[in-house]
Amino acid sequence: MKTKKSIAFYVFLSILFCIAYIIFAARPLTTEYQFVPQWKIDTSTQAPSPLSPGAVPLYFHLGQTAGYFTEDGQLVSISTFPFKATISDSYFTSYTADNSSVDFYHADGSRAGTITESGFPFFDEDRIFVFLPGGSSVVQCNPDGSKKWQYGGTVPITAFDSSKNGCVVGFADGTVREISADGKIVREFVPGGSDYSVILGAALSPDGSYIATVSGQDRQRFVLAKKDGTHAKIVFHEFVGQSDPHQRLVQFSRDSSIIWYNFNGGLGIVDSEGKKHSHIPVRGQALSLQEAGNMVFLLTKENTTYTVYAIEKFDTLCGSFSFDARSAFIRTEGNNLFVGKDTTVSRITLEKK
Amino acid sequence: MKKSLILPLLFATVPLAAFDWPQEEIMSDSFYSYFGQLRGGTISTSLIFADPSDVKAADDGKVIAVISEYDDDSCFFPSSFGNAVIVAHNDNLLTVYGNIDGETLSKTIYNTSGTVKTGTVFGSSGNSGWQQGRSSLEFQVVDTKNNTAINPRVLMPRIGEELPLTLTGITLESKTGTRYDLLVQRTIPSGLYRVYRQRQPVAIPYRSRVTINGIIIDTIAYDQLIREGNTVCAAGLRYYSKDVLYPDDRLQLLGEVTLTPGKNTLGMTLADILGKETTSAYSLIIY
Repeated sequence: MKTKKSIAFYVFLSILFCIAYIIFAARPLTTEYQFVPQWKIDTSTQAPSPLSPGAVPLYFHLGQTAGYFTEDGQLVSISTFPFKATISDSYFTSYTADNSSVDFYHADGSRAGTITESGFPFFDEDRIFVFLPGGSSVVQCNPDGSKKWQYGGTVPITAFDSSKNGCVVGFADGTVREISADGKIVREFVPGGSDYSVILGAALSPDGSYIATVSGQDRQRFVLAKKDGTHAKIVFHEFVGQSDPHQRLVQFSRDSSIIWYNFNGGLGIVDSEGKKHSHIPVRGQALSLQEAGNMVFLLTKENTTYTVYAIEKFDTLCGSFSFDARSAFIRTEGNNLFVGKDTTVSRITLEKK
Repeated sequence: MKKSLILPLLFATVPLAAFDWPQEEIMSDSFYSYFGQLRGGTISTSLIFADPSDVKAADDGKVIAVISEYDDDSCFFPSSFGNAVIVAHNDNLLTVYGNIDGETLSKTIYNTSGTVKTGTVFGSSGNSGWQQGRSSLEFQVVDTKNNTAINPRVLMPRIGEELPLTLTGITLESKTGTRYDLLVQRTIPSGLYRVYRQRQPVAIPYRSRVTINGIIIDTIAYDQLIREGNTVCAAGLRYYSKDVLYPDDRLQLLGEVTLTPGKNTLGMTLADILGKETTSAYSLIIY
C-alpha cells in the first residue's frame, strides 16, 4: 500500500515537472528566411511588351537567348542569336565568330554605338571590353564603342574582373596586372606559392583597394592582397587543396568587406581584413554569386545539374536546391531572387518570418 | 670522316622538332593563318590550322588551365580562344590549344593528376573561338621566362614546301607620313623611311631584310613576338608595333632605312622558315 502511494507520488511529481518545463522552457521560434514563389514566365511563349514607365529592366541570358524583363514579370525584349551575345543592365549585343564591328544597344532597344574592334565584346555593368583575337589582349571602349585603351600581351588571359576603379587581369604565367580606368598598368604581382603558376580567378574590390586571386596547380592558393602604393601587400592567403584547371569565381561583396572564392569542392569566405575565414562545401563549378541584403546566393554547375545555395552572411548555409537544365542563371534585386532555367524565369521573394 | 663530325652533320640535315604536331599533320603551305600575320587587327601570336581534327598535346606536360565558353550568365569573361587547354612544359614553355569544340573537350584530363603525354587527345577543333573562314585549331607557344610568344613552327615538324613570298607594291613612307610608290617614283628626298611591301593575305616571311648599297640596315624576325609595355611587337632595328608593322590591311613593314643624298640601291630580301630567299632591289636618286 505504501509502495503504491510512493509510485503515485513520483508519477505526479514527473507530470508536474513536465508541465513546469513546458511552461518555463518554451521560447518563441526565431524568424527564418522563407522563399515565396511569385511568378514564372516562359520566354519562349510570352510576347515581349514595351517597358512600363518607371519599371527597371533586368537582363537575362539563357543559352542562345537573351533579353530584359521586369520585377513584375513583364518580358520587355528577347533576342535569339546563332553564336554568342553579351548583356548587362546597360547594354546588349550579339556577335559572330569573326566579329570585327558590331552595333550595341541600350536596354530599351535604342542604339548605343558601334564597337569596331575585332574580338569578343563583353559588358560588365556599363563598362565595355573586347577580348581580342589571340586570347592575350583586351580593349576597353568608351560608351560610344570607340577604343579607350588597349592592353596587348603575349601570355593568355585566364582571369578578368572589372570595377569602376579599373580592372584586374590574370595570366597563364601566374602574373596579375591591375589596369587603371585610363589604361595604365598600376600594379603587377605574382601570387605564386605553387609549382605551376596560373591565375584561375581574380577580382578587384568595388572600392578599388583589394585584389583577390585563386591560382596555381598541385597546391592551389587563394590570396587576398591590399593595395599599398604601387605594390600589393598580401593580407591573407591559404592553400585550398586539390588541383583543378577550371576557371574559378572570385567575388567581393558590394561594400568590399567580404570575398567569396570557389575551389574544387568548396566555397571560401574571407573578410577583407583577413581575420575571419570559412569554407562551405559546394558541388561543381561556381558560375554566379548574387547578394540580397544579408543573404548570398550561389549558382553552381556540375555536368547538367545546377544548384542554388542560400548562404546567410557570414557563413551560414541556409539551404540549397538543384535542378537539371541546359542553361541557368540567378539574379537578385531588392529582396527578390530570380532564377532562370532553359526558357523560364521565376521570381522568388525572400521573407523573414 | 671523323665520327665526331658525323653526328652534328647528321642532325644538321634532319629538321629537329621539340614539339610534335598538335593535331593531324598538314603540309607547310596549308595553314589557314601564320604566326606574325595581321589577324583581326592584331599581330597574330597564333598558328591557325585549316582543317578540323583531333587536338592533342604537342609534348609531355601538365594541364594548368581549361578555359571554357559559357552559355550561362556567368562571372567569367569571353575568351577569344573559346574553349582552350593550356599545358605547361619544361623550359618555361606553355602550349595553348584554342577553338576546341566544347562537346568534345575531354573531361579526363583534369580528373587525374593533370599530367599529359605527347599525343593525349583534348578534343576536336571546333568553332568556339574567334575565327575566320576555315579556321580550326588555334595553337600557341609561350615562353613565360622571356614573356614572348614563340613561332610554333620553329619547334614543330615541317612537311613540304613553304608558300611563295612576293615583293610587290614596294612603298616608302617618310617620318611625316608621305608615301612613295617605287614603281612610279625613284627620286625622293633624303631622310628616315619605312619600307613596306604589299602584304600577302596568308604567306608571311620568317625574316625580312632591307639593305642600302649592300649593307644590311634592318632585319625583322618572326621567330618570336614580344610585349613592350601594353603592345605586342616584332623585333627589328627597333620594336615594331602593329600600327607600324601593318599600318593598314594592304602593307607590311620590311624595315627602316635612312636614305642620304646621292645614288642609293635599296635592297629587300624575304626569307621563309627554310631559308629560301626572295630578293628585289631599286636604284634611287636621293636629294
